[in-house]
Amino acid sequence: MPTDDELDRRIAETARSAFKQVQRSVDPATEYEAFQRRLDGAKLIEVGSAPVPHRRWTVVAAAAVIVVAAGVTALLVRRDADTDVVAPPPSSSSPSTTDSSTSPAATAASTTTNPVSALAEASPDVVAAGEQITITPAGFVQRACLDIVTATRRDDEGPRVGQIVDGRVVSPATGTAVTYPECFGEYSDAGFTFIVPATLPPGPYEMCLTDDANPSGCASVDVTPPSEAASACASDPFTPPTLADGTPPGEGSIDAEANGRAARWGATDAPNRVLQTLDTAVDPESLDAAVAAGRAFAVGRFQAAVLPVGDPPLGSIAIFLRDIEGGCLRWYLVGPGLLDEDAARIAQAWVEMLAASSTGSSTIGKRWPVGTDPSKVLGAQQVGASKIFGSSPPGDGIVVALIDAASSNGLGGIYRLVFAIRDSQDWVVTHEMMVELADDEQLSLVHEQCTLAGTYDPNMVAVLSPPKDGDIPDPPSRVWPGRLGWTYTAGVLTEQAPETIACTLAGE
Amino acid sequence: MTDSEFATCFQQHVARLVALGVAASGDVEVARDLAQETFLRLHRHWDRLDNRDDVGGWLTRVMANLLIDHHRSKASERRAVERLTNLAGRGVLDGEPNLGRWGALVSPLPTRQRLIVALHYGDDRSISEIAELLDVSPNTVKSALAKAREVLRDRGGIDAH
Repeated sequence: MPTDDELDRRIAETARSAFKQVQRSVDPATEYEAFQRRLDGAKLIEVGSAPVPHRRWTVVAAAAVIVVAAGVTALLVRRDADTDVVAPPPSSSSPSTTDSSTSPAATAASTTTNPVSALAEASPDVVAAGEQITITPAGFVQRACLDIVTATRRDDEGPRVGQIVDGRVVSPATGTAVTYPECFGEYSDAGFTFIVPATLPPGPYEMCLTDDANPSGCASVDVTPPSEAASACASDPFTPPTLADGTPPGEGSIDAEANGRAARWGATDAPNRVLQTLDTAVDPESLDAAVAAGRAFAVGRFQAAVLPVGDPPLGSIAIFLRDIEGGCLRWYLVGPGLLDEDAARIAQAWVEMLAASSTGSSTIGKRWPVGTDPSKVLGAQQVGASKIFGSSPPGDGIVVALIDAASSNGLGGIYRLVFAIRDSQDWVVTHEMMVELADDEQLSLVHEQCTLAGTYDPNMVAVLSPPKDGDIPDPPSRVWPGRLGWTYTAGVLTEQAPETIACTLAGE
Repeated sequence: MTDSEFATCFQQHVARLVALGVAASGDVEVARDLAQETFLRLHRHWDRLDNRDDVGGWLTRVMANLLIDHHRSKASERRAVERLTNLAGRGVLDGEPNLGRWGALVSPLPTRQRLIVALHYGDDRSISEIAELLDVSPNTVKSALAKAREVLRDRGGIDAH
């Protein structure tokens, strides 16, 4: 296995060799001639003549032909006049490329600071960071890559330019340049609804759906600080979907840590515990680094990113969890004792579970007639139940295992358990929870009999079994010990200690 | 600044920009196209330019941004075409990487990481220079380089010369 230094050396050799090979193949004179032809074409565009096609247009034209041939609709590929949104080159007074005076502000300001130029409608036009806004263009405009909104600050404070992409601010930062080359977005007059990222600093903005600051695609928007609900995210404990080993988190507690408060799920110093750092804002650069390192996951409106805090497995690993809809960004710590890939698995499971649970609204309080299939009422596919079609006296409890459509799409192993009691001729849901099974685990709902610490208990309704290759002394139909189990009687749900559970499966 | 000075500047930097473009995109035509676009933008500001000391850095920065945005717009195009024609997975718009060993080496990496690796190893840029060029934190650059090494190590490293 090569060391980092050895890898560095080999990569550098390969890279330099490739660079030299390409550089040798480039004839500057020929390139300059091609550039001159393109420059002439650009000048024609600037005075309103027909655009001169070049290589990139050919590619998209081919795509458009394919679309038309498919008989669906035409993909519009007209190119607008080139636009000047790039920073000017360095001047003598500002030699650095990162100096704010070399940013696009000088160029952008002259075209975007006048709010009168923004003709699109923003609804609302005053919006809190982290909340939703709709921008409707004043006519057909060529959209900026369909899902990118450029946000240009209209005053002299804070970041000048940023892009809002999929609910995140990309390269917002510190007065430095962001360029947007032409993008072959569709022409549309439809409104675009998106979440103003919670990290966007408050202030007056011009937000454009176009790459070229076309006033018809730009709206003036005043962004206010995040609402109390959103800003409270960092201080409010939010129960993670699981502990670090995939088990349900149970009740949390608040601990005083050296750096402030932390919410804890799992026992102190237990290897599976999860800490949520409270009262400390997440450093956007840390999140950026996690995303850049390829440890980011998104399902539905939830995103998670993983970043080692120390050196795993000896150090902790941070999991950033964001709810795009609410603008909440929270910061959890798992480990020590875990590797990067362990934390990545946890983060991915979290967003999958959160997304799965958010795709169907809560089922608590829902009813369905005794003896009927509850799938439609509960809004998910039923995969098992302890007792659905049989007769039960009032007050009896059942558990139904459901799998959401999102979970059945290859996510696997994530179930919603719904607990219901008999009320006259209906079942009524009193509890629900998400559980995740490892590949080698099973969920059992129907048992011949169960014992708790050796004593028969008829109210044992659901058990997650140990791994199949575990130390199971009795016939395979016997589950002992359970990884997790619940008793449920008269509407009271109680989690039982795993080592006390022993059940004989009822022909499952 | 005169046209001949611009031509000199062009000829001085174009091969390096194309090499960077190829290393990051794996496609010579895309690299040449974006290098020309970079010089087009420089040309627009040429008359106002009174200091050429860091033109190379500025060109690299614009080229890097164009490469990232090119990837983004290409993904958007691909999505649009796939939506309308059910051509998902056929790679209609993809250019074929043609840089052999280097292409195979960096192809598993996301565009930004590939760019960071190309700038660091191919263009001999330091971590702080890359952070400044790409408007990201040095930690982001370090993470990307670490991730690249990890990917390469997972693939059994690179054959020694």
